[in-house]
Amino acid sequence: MAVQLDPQLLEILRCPAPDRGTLSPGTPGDPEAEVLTCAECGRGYPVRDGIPVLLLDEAVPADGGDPAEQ
Amino acid sequence: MTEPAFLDAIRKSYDTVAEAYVELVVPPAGMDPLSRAMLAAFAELVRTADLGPVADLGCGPGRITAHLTALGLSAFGIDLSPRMIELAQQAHPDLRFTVGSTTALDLSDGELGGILAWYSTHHTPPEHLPTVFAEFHRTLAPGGHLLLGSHIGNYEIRRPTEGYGGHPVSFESHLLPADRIAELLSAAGFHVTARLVQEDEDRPGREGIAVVARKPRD
Repeated sequence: MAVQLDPQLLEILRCPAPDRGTLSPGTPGDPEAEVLTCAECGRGYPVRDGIPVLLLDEAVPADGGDPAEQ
Repeated sequence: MTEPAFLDAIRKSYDTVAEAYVELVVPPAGMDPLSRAMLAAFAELVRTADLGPVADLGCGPGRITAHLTALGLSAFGIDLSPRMIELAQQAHPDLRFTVGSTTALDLSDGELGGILAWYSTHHTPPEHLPTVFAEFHRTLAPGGHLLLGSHIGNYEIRRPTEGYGGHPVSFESHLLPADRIAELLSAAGFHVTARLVQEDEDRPGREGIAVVARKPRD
């Protein structure tokens, strides 16, 4: 199911990486993915049970690699 | 890019104690009158300035987030512990919560009308507090208010091995003097407007502080 977030919250949420990019639901390849993707760095943040997890350690890098190796 | 290691200990500890915390820690209605008065005064300052929503940083199970909402604020919560946030979202389905870190906030610049950091920053080693307070300053709107509650002391570091009824914990608590906390806030660009120092009812000989600070408008 696509990410459903309160629009007002989504407006002020940003990527915690230094670029502070805006976040959009889904990934470039899968708009339905339960992920928020940063418009600047491309990191993907999981949304678990409707709750965004906006931690750098849990971000999936733009190339889809292992977050632990970033 | 990775996060400082101390964050992992805080996250794991609060994931472990989350249910016990809800049971053992008094909700806002049961707090001492002075602490509640500080929360009410903060809510009035933020309502009057009307500059944006309030972030409850280190919100735990979200009860104070809900208390601020009841005081007329548009409040949401952020906590490092996914389990705490799960409990917060279950208990308060109408409010918004995210898992995030005060060392690198998941929020845009200058959009918050207020920040509440209620007994959450004392787990941050003092050398990381400038980063955290810079994040508070970055995300607050000019004219926005911060209310910070914390244990205080003479630079003692507590390393409890269990808490909240015998559950294992691995976080540290750093007890800074009130003056040092105010200095660090000033160094981050805040104007400290008020401080309440009071006895810790549950821990004889220890004190807590509630600091009100404002991000200047210029």
